[in-house]
Order: sequence, then structure tokens, then C-alpha cells
Amino acid sequence: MSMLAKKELTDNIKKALNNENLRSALGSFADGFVQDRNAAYEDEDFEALRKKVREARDYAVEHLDELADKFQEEAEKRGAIVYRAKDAQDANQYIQKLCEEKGVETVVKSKSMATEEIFLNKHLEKHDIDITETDLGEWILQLQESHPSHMVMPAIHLKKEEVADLFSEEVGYEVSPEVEGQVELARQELRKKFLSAGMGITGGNLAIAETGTIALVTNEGNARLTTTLPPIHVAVVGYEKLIAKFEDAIAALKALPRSATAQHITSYVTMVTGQVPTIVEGEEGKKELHIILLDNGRREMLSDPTFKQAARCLRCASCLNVCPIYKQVGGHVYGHVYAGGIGSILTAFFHGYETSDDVQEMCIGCRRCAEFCPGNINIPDLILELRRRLTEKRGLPFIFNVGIKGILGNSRLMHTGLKLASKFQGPITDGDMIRHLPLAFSEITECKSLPKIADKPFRDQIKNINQKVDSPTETVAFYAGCAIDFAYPEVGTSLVKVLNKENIKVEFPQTQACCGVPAKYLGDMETMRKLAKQNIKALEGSYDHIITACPTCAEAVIEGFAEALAGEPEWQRRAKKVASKVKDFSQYLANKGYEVGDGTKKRKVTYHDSCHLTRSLRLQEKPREVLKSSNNIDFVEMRDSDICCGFGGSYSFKHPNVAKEVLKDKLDNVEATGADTLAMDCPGCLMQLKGGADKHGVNIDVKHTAEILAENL
Amino acid sequence: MAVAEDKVIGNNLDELYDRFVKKAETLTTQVYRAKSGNEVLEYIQKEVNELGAKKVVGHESELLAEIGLKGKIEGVDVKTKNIVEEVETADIGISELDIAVAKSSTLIQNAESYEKRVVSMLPKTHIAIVKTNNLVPDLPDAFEVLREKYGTAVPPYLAFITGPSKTADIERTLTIGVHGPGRLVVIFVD
Ligand code: SF4
Ligand code: SF4
Repeated sequence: MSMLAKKELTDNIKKALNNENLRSALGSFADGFVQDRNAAYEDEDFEALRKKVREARDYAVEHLDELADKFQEEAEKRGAIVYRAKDAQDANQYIQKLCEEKGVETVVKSKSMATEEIFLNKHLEKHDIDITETDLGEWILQLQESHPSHMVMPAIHLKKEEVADLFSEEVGYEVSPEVEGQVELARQELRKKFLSAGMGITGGNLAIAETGTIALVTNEGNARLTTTLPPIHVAVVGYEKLIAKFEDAIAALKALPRSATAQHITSYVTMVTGQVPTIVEGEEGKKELHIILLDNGRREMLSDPTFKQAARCLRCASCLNVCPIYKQVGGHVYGHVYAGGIGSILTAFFHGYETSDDVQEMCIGCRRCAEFCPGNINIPDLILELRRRLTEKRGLPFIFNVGIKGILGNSRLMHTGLKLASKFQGPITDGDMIRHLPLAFSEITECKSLPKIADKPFRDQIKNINQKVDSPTETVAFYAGCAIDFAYPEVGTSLVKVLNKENIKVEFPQTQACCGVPAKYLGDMETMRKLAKQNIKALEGSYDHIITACPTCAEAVIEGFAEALAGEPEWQRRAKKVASKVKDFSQYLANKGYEVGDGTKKRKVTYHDSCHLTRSLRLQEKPREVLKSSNNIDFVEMRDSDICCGFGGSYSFKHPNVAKEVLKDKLDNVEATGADTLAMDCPGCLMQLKGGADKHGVNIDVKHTAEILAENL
Repeated sequence: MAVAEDKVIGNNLDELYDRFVKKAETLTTQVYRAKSGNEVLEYIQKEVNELGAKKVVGHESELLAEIGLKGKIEGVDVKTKNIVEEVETADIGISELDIAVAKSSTLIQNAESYEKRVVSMLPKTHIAIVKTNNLVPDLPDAFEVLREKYGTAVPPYLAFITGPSKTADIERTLTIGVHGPGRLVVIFVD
């Protein structure tokens, strides 16, 4: 990443975080969105619908050439002219030449991300062609010479007062900051443009191959006017919009509005198939229709075994609306046409890998977007893969290669190293090396106090615990992971205490090591494989179960090891065998029908859902079951309990200001409950929230569930 | 367009109508149900009076020609010819829509004719006339009807209309009537 780009990003973040208008708009929107959106799905099965969207798009991707040919053939049969544009310049020039050839001087356009992506307006303006955006939000931004910050609500970051200023300048008289009047003004001004334009340009939400049809969805009705009033219609449509059958449109028409604006269907859906009658200068004639099938990096994306799923994107923007990072900074920070997590993926293919390098780092990996995506796109995994490829090009960070890689498998050395690092906060805490460690021991303590590295790691402490379990009902292995081992050994000792009380013996295989996730996140699969094998060997004993208390580690053992060892069937088999025994602490207890003892301390507890426990392991109910089993525990839910705390491994190092805001939201929600205890099941969150509460003077006990249960035992 | 008989049988029309109304109300769509052509005219008259409309344009489908708009509505200039010249200054546009989807209160129209299109797009109020018989439960049913009727030779312009034109682009304040009609009136005719 060039330093300049990085500086720009940091500056943009600062600007966004200081923009009160933006923050209040995004904040109130994010708060209401999920509720509205869920209500819109009350009468449709979201999972069933997104399965249909997925099937239709996946089929199209597998038959791309066939469908593109069919679409072209059918559209041409009906009088359309189909042009295949390989990139932005190609498409822009085609439209410009067409304007020149037909003597078109003024153009109206309805909202289209594809034409934003190729910077069509700029190109036409350079050639003295007057082009007007007709979507209200887009028009406002055009007057401001700015660009959209959101795919569905492009001007969400602007206040009506700012709109009033822009309108006043455009019409030459004072416009009041009152929305209804502003909308009426836009209607009148833009109506004139519609009636005089020589060409209408649209995008296309769907391109139906068997009929050669373009489908457009809008609420304002501008696409209807754009496709009806001017004598020439040009539609710019990406290859990924192709679907095979007419009926394939149904799922998209239902899912897109529900996910985008919590509507059952948009006010208008317009399906254009070939030439349509029109009136040109009083004469009845056929309207000219040009369809530009746009490549611009799409074909590469659609033929990539991992990234082809991005074709399922309906551009509904719900992934932005639920993203804790987008909520803080808005779309402009991403610096490109497509914002947010999916934006960095699309940007990588449409504008080049390097362009997305800085923005992909904005993702904290909380996986919330993937839950909501109607295209069922695994956005965070795609970002990880993008990151992996980018590091592959760049090579691993030097310090990781020489300083860290070697010791990840040797926990004792790692403990010594981290201990030193936390003492001296010297060059070893610099840059890439430390930021991807499970413990982000960065020197940036602005937003939270960092944990101390324990003098004695858990692996040594357990040797001195006298487990008085005479005839154990079960014997389990505890896979601790680095965070518990080195920073929070008390979580480990609590866990042993609780299980012993239940007559369960806990063993700690001493050769276990780091789960390898930090290496994987850096794109170092070699080290990941090495660690996977080491851990498999350590955990293969005849234990009844393998217990974890860190969801990231659990996920690594359950899925990550087998995935990393896909090329070695024998090892993969062993990985799967180990994986089948893994139970996370609360899950293990809840499944046993565990009840918290009467002697436990009276507490008012609220619970923070860690991203991995909730969305990867799907165990969010288990700790609740356990905690609620006691009369001494008054359990209160907080608002947005499943939104990320801002930890994200390296994130608080990389983007401390953003992480700080995410943390602040979380702490506000915690405080609002009036609870005296904040519980969770993830040592990463523990680090973030313990430190955060400390730093912000929030007076609350922050604890792993195991610690709460072990009290007074 | 007649909806295939078997699509209708088994679906109680009254029930579908009620569902349509329930959804339409949430979108500010005004819905009436008329037993006859004369009743349709009464409802149109009511709208004209309430809105204080001066000029109405109507696209004469078979049904509308049969009902006959011209000369039957009082106090207003009704145009059914030369629509293209008249429509920009009209207060109300009237046209027939082909299918009504109960679940989402969506109307579907083969809008191949330019006149038919502008009548429902340009004036501030659009009155849509639909045969009650052409109600279907959900979007897939409507697609089935379209498939049966056209196969793959779909009309060059298919319009789906649900509620009035609207925007929330400024401060997410919902405002109706941006580029299309701010008022949608649906009259079902038995
Ligand atoms: S990635 Fe999914 S959630 Fe995001 S815009 Fe695309 S379809 Fe919507
Ligand atoms: S994983 Fe989380 S941080 Fe990343 S894009 Fe999705 S919602 Fe945003």
C-alpha cells in the first residue's frame, strides 16, 4: 500500500468521525434498519428466498457465455443493439460516439452504480454533453460535484439545509430547508430535463437471457421517465446481472426491496424488452435501444473460483447498513464507488487489486453482514481471501517472517517474547508483526488499557492445581489458546474449578500451541498447516471432549485445521476426528443441563455476544441458558448485543479511531442496562471491553462466563 | 388480458381484494370496488371533485371505451384523443391495468403503447382501473399469468406499479410524488 493512500484513508476517517451530521444520520438509520428490515421479511422466508437468488445467479455464472449470447440474440431479435464493452473507457466512448452521431446534446440518467463505476458523467461532460442525474439523491450530489456514499441512499450524509443551499444556487432563488418543497422543486426542474433530453441512460438490475429483457427497479419513477420520454435509451448492465429465466426475476424482485428499504416491492418495476413504440417529434416511431454489457473486471471475478459468488450481489446495501464500521464512518471513507465490505471486493476487480488494499483493511471481520446478505455472499471470507492474495503479492512482513513465525509453535518462547514485549513496548510491538497476533499488544492505548501478560502462563499454573476428582464421570482436554494461556490464565483456572465441581477431570496437553489463525490472517498457510498438525497431535488422546473457552480457537479446531489440511487426506481425517470432540465451555455445560449453584454471588448481568461465538459457532443461546439458571443472577439483555466490540484481533491497532467509536457504542449500550456485570465467552472481547470500561471509567465487572460461575465455589 | 380461469378458481376474490386493500392502505393507495361501469364513473367523479381537477386524460382500453369517459364526468375537461399533447398539463391520468397482485398491492400492465405509459407517469394523480377478476395472490402467480399469455415473447414494456412515486433521499424523510404520481387510486370493477 502506498503511504499516500494510507494517509488519505486515515485523513478520511478522521474527517468522517468529526462529521456530526453524518454520524447522527448513519447512527439513527442503523438503529432502525434491522427492525424495519426484519418486519419486511415477516411474510417471506428469508432463507428460502436467498437460496433462490443464489441458485439463479450461480447458474448464470456457470453458464455465463451461453446466457450472454442468448440475451444478446433475444434482445437483438427485438430490435435492440447489444454492445459488449470490455472496460470503462470502451463503454464511455461508445456512449459518447452515439451521442455525437445522433446529435444528442442533453442526456438524462436514472440511478445506476455501473455508470458511476465507469465515471460516465465526467467523460460525457468532457465532450460537452450535458448529462443530468434524475434520482433525487444523485442529482443533489451532482450539484455538489460529489459522489454517493451509499448504494441505495446516495445522499444519506447530507442535511436538508445543505440541500437547500445547493438548490438555491441551481435555481437562483432562495430555497427553504423543507423536504416536501425540495422534492417538488426537483420534480419541476427535472421534468423539464426529461422532456427535452435526447437520450435516457439507465443501469439494469436484471438482464433476463431467455427474453432479452432488462429489469429496472425504482421508487421515484425516474427510470420510467428515462426509458419513456427521450427517443434513445441506453442501458449499461454488468455481466453479473444475467439470469436465465423470466421467473428467476421473482426472488430478486422480492429480496432486493425488502433488504434495501424494507419494502415488499419497489413502487416501480420496469421491464424493457427490445424496441418500444415512442413519439419522436410528434411522429410515432420505434425507440432506439442500446444495451451495453459491461465487463470492466467482472468476467475475471466471475471466473474466479472464490470470488464468483460476488455475482450474487443485488446492490441492496444491507451489508453496509448492519456493518459496525460503516455505521461509524459512512461510505466516502472507502474512497471508491462501492463502499463497505462488498465494496472492497468489487473495487478490487473493477478498479484493480491495489486500489482496494487500504479499504479492505476497514473490515473488522465480525461477519454480521453475511447474516443479512440476500445474495448469501460470505463477505468476510472473501475479504480474507483478498487480503491473503494481497499479502502474497507483497510478501509476508519481514518481522513476521523472522521474529514470529518460528515461535508460534513454541508457546514457552512465545510467552517469554510477549512478556518482554509488553514490558518494553519497544520495536517489537511495531507494525505487522504484532497486529495479527491474537493479543494485539500495540502501543496504542488511547482507547483501552492493555492487559498485562501473566507472570505465570496457564500452562504452568495448571500443574499446581490439585484436581480433587476421585472418580471422574468424564475426562476432557482443555484447549486454551494464546489469550487465555498468556493474558487471562484466571479464565482457565476458573474453568477447571467449575468442571472439577461437576466431577469432570481437566487435562492440559502441554504440546498444544497457537491455533494458527494469526498466521492464516496474514496469508501464511504454511505456518497454519504446521500449527494445525502440532495441535492435532496434542489433542488426539482418548479424551471424552475437547473444551475451549475462546470461540476463535474453537472455530480453528472445528473447521480451520481440516480446511488448511485439505491437500493431505490422512491429516484431514485426523483433523476431523479431533474437531468432532470440540465443545465450547458454555455449550458443554448447557448440554449437561448445568445449573449455577445457590451460593453464587448476586449479580445483575448483561451479555455481550462475541462475533465468532454467535455467527460462526452459533452458540449464543448456550451461555444465556447457563447464566439464567440461577436465581441470584438477574439477566438483562442489552441493545445490539451481537454487534462487534471493536476488537477484531489487529483492528484496534490498525484503525484505533474507528475501533474506539465501535467500543464507545458498545459501552453506551452496556451502561444503559444498569447491569453491574458484563459477561462474555471470548478472551478477545474480554481484552477489549475490560480495557475499554477501565479507560472510560465505566464501573462494571467485565468477566468471562467461566469466572462468574467459579465464584464462591 | 384475461387471467386464466384456473388461477382464479380456488381463490376467493373477496379475500384477495381485502388483502390488496390492506396492503394498499399502508402505501396511501386509495382503493375502490365498483360493481358496474357507472359506479366506476362515480368514483372518478368523486376523485375529480375532491382534487379540484381541471383536466383529465384517459387512455381508452376496450374496457374504458365501454365505460366511456367522455362527457360523463362533470366539471372537468376530459381528453381521450391527442393524449401526448394534453398529458403534460393534465391533473389526472386514467388507464387500465391488467393484473393486480393482492399480497403486495402491485398492478401490472402491458405498457407497450406510449400513450398508456405517459398517462400513468406524468400527471400527479393516476387512476388505475382493474378487473376484479384479474386479482392474483402473489407475484409468482402474476408471472405465471404472464408466461401463459406471452411465453418468451414478453411485451416490450411491462410496468409494475405499487403505490405512489416516492423518495426518502433527503434525510430519509419519506415524501411522495417525485417523478411519478403522488396519488394512486385503484378502482376494481366487477
Ligand atoms: S453484498 Fe449482499 S447485502 Fe451487500 S449489497 Fe450485495 S446483496 Fe446486498
Ligand atoms: S464482517 Fe463486519 S466489519 Fe466486515 S464488512 Fe462485514 S459487517 Fe463490516
